[in-house]
Amino acid sequence: MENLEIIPKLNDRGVLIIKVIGFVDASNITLFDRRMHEAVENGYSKIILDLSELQYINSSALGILLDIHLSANKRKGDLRILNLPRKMQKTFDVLGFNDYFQIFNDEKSAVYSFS
Amino acid sequence: MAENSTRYSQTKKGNEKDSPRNSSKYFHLRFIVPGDVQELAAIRDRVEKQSASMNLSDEEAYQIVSAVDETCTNIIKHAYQGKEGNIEISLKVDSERFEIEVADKGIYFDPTLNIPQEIDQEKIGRQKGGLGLFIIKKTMDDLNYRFTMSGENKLHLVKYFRSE
Repeated sequence: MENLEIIPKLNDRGVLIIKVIGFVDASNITLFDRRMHEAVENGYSKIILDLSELQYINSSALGILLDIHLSANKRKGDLRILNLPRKMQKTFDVLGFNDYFQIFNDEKSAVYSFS
Repeated sequence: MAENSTRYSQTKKGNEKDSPRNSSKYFHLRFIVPGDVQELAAIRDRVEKQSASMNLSDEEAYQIVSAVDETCTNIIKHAYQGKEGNIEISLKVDSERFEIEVADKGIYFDPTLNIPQEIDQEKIGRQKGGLGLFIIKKTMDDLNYRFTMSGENKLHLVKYFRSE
């Protein structure tokens, strides 16, 4: 099994839901960077990142999320977080990400937040 | 991680009472791994297992694992700069704190000189770097660097247990 799986799913409301499974560290950050930027470059701007099966994410990957967020904003879209693992909440908190990203605990609410 | 690439020792002390954070769970573990990004997952697993034995919350354990991962990543990138070299990790736990010391023999690299004072989310993505140290500073209670007489970088991190 790969240590990182990135599974994109486009729903009927034009929202791209990207599920990240496994971990993101310095060994696979290049793959994560490429796949995340591909999503934006393919024209999608309403993006939900489902982190329910994320085991670990390093600081470089968190920086990439900010990049994607800014790119999506420039296209009048957004990057929103779904199912942030509880163990990562403090990390998001110290970085001010809890205020910066919209974070949801269920997919329907996250999808419908894109009006 | 191949076991033959790792030197490993562990000592325990204290009695065998089975209560959280009692002295039977104190330990001092030291292991040496190659400074290679492919080793990071195994390093995190080992630190996580030790944290789990101390009844830390998932959040506290994650912070410790993250601090070690970010420190080792910095060593590989900045102290060894792609060259081969080992990283020695020491984990020491008693009733009050979880202490971590990470040592390498790469070039002089004091990570405490590069810690951003604050985070600007609009700029982080482009700045690259510094974010990991900021996380360490904010989630660990003590952070100290020294360059030893024998030419080692040593980063010492401490997380105190919250009183129960």
